[in-house]
Amino acid sequence: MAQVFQYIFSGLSSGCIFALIALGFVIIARVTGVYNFAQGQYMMVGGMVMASTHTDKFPIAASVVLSVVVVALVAVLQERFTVSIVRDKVGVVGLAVISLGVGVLLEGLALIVWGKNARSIPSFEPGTFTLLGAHLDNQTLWIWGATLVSLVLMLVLFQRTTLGKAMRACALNPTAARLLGIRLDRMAILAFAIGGGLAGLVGAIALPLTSVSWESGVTVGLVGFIAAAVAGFDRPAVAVAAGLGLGVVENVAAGEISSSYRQLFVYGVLLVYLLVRDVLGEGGFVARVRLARASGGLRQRRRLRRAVSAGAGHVALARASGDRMRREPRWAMLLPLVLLTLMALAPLVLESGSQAMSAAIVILLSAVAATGLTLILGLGRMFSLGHAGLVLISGYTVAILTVNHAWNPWVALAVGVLLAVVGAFIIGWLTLRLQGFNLAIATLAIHLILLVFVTQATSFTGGERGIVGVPALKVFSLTTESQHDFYWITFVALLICLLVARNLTKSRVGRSLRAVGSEQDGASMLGVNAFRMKLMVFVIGGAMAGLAGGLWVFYLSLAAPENWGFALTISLVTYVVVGGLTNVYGGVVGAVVVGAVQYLVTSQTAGLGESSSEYEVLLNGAFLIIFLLIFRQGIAVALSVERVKGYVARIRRGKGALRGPTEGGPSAGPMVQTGTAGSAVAGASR
Amino acid sequence: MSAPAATTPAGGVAASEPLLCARGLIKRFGGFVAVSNVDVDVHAGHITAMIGPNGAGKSTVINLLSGALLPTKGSVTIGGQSIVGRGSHEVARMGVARTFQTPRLFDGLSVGESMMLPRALFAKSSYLECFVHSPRTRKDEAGGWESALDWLSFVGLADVAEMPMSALPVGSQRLVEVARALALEPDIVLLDEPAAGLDHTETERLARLIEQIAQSGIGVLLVEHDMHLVMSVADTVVVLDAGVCIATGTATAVSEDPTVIEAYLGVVNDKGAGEVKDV
Ligand SMILES: Nc1ncnc2c1ncn2[C@@H]1O[C@H](COP(=O)(O)OP(=O)(O)O)[C@@H](O)[C@H]1O
Ligand SMILES: [Mg+2]
Repeated sequence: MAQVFQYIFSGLSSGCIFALIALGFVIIARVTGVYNFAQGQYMMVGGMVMASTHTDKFPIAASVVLSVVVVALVAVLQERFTVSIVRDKVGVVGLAVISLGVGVLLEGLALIVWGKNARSIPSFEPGTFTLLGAHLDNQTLWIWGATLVSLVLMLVLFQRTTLGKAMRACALNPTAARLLGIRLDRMAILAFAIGGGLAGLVGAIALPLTSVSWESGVTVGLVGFIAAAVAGFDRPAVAVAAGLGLGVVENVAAGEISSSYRQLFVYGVLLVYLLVRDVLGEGGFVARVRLARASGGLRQRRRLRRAVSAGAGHVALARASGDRMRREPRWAMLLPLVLLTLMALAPLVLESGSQAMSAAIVILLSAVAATGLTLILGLGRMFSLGHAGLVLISGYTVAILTVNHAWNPWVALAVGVLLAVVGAFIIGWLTLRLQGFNLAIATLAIHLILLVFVTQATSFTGGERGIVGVPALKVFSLTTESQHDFYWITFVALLICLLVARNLTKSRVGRSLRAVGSEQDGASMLGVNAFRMKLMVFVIGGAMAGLAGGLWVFYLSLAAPENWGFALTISLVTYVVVGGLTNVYGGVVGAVVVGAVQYLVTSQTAGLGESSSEYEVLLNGAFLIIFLLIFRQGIAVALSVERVKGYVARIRRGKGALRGPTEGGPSAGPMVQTGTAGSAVAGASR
Repeated sequence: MSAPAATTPAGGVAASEPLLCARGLIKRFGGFVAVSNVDVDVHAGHITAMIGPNGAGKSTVINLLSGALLPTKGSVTIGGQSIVGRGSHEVARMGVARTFQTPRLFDGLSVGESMMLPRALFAKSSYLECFVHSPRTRKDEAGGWESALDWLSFVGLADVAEMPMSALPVGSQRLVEVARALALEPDIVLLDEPAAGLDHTETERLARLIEQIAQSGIGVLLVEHDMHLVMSVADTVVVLDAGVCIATGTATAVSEDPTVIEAYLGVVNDKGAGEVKDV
């Protein structure tokens, strides 16, 4: 029994961490409407400040205060330099992606300032105490106390004070709040300061019981986000309770079942929660079936039958004078062709075995995966944060089959892609019904579950070390052992992916998805099955991720968890945003541009590591933020046919209108600006 | 209160079985009852009009009939099959098309492209062929474009196919919506205030179009404020007020009904200026 209390109490401690993060989420969302994905990294920064000042013979209280102040300041800076600038220009999803960028930027900075190693500090007052037979570190009391005090303060603030009520009014009805004389910008600053301060506090106080490293923010942030989502991003007390609950679930399950899979339980609970809520919710599966039963049976006839014979009501038509189909101008393909030709020629000037060649190969592999993500994010407007998970599925499949079972590399590659497709189908089928951020969270959770699995199932996947000794893939006289040959093979794969992506975008599937993206109800009424279209694009995008993963393994000749972590998803999202969401070449353009800049910066700064340099993370974050703030349409769209025509027309006209023509063509607004994303989020947060 | 089988102006006798048949429809939004116990019938080749003041629940009824909303209670059948619980794309495939009170503009698609959306149902090529852009896909695309143009010229707008819909005046947008609905080759069309924002001549043209649609055998449910239009085309009129059906009958009978005059026609004069934009 004491053992159980032990688990419960330590669960409460980690629950407090989740709770305070969730509280910050709720406060920021409640006041500003921003879903702040940098919340976990705030805590990381708080922990880092604590860790680095603690060693300096600094009073502990001063360190804690410093952590709180620094993080609050970071949050305020974020509000001033990102949120306040683009608040009215990008939708809720856009704001969230920017905050994701801020989070990555903070990770990059932390990596540069504090290095790679995890840090911790001793308890404020070393020692333990016993409660109901459980032995607990004294620090536990600090954490519990801080959580309780924070919660009470927040409740008092929001329910008892005019200031708190004014803050709430901002998110509920900004226009009315403005009319009442509430200074929205001040309230937003205050909310970010409080949300940041809370994260800084928990980062500092929890440090003795945990440890902090540059990448420790992601998982904490995710769990905090879950707790906030349970509370509908609106009720502080529920958020705290959910955070505590998740902490207890994690620890009890870890203690009673298996500690190596401890995170799995939290993510599992999350997934089940999201899916069950979706199924049981208003208009969900259960409600539909119940009503259908009541009114004569859903499966009365399995196949849909038209009321009268098909098209009986056919209005006699005046034939239009047979206008031909509109065609793109011949030079529409020019820019992509130039880009691809340059990419094809790259190996001729790059030396095999050089760092530049390795960088080029990674760029190419990323471009394959990013092309899939462009379809998912840009065409399907599905905010997936689990793309690297699909890369991982295929990568590990190929490695396991070729190394452990000595399969033919080509067959293994095919099976790898197939499993990625199956994985994408299952993930998509489960999560695509979820709206807005729930989709992002669910896909991310599935990826993290996969990562936990490949790290822990050592006998099967080699654990942290991964699977080594993947044989070469051979075709004609080409072999993946040669970097040049590998480049050509991957290049052909990229061309195939681009061709499929382009055909799909131009076909009725692409058209339907663009219609769904702008007005889903309108599209459905015209017979468009939005779910099926989205699932199809999700699966095609997944196949491309699988292809990238399978080939990746032959390049590295190993499969290890760190290659396909959350950082890869962030990179891929960055590439797509930078290149342009609404253009099939967006992912490729982004991968080349960002990859090239990263290579140049890293090769300038240090000759040490090639792949996981500090600056890469930093640049990802910076690119993500800059492009969402300034060049929201991305590079590929800025250079697309309609735009170039617009520029040319403008030059001819002299200095005419400031903005290029936006009418016509598929390259209208990027997904981050759409109303659909906004309303999806409204649904998600309910 | 079901619409009685009536004689169409074209002289044909409407089928005794209604194509679309809704019984006891109730829709609650939270505690608010938007539609309460409404029955609607739509017969092939027959124009049923639904009138009522703003907020009476007309659009909500259309949403219920087209699968956009799940009724709190009640049944909707199309040709004997229940549609309750089905998604609106399925209802569309079963032969029910609709327009929206606020036209759907489909940002990023030209008018012609948006007209091709419903034509996807008639595509002969598989999705797999879409990936490789096979000859059959190309043929589908060309055919879809042609028929998009055909339907646009039916409503007199063949020359706007390459324009974005947002560039059209609202009257043309409504006509595009009608054309798009027809491109589904439906058995039933539900029109939500198609004449709002149309000038006199456009309304006249719309009236002729609606009659033409009905003559071809399609059942029409016309939600409308314009009494003149309703009186000129409707075979049956259903009057809603505050979610309740207060009268059903021929246009003349309804317009003489004292309850209707009190609840609705009295309001007609104050209205007309204020066009409320709701779904
Ligand atoms: N999704 C909704 N949620 C809450 N109330 C709604 C919703 N849709 C419609 N209503 C309410 O239902 C009533 C009927 O609306 P509607 O069907 O649009 O009326 P009409 O089309 O006759 O003008 C209105 O009072 C409206 O506010
Ligand atoms: Mg209405």
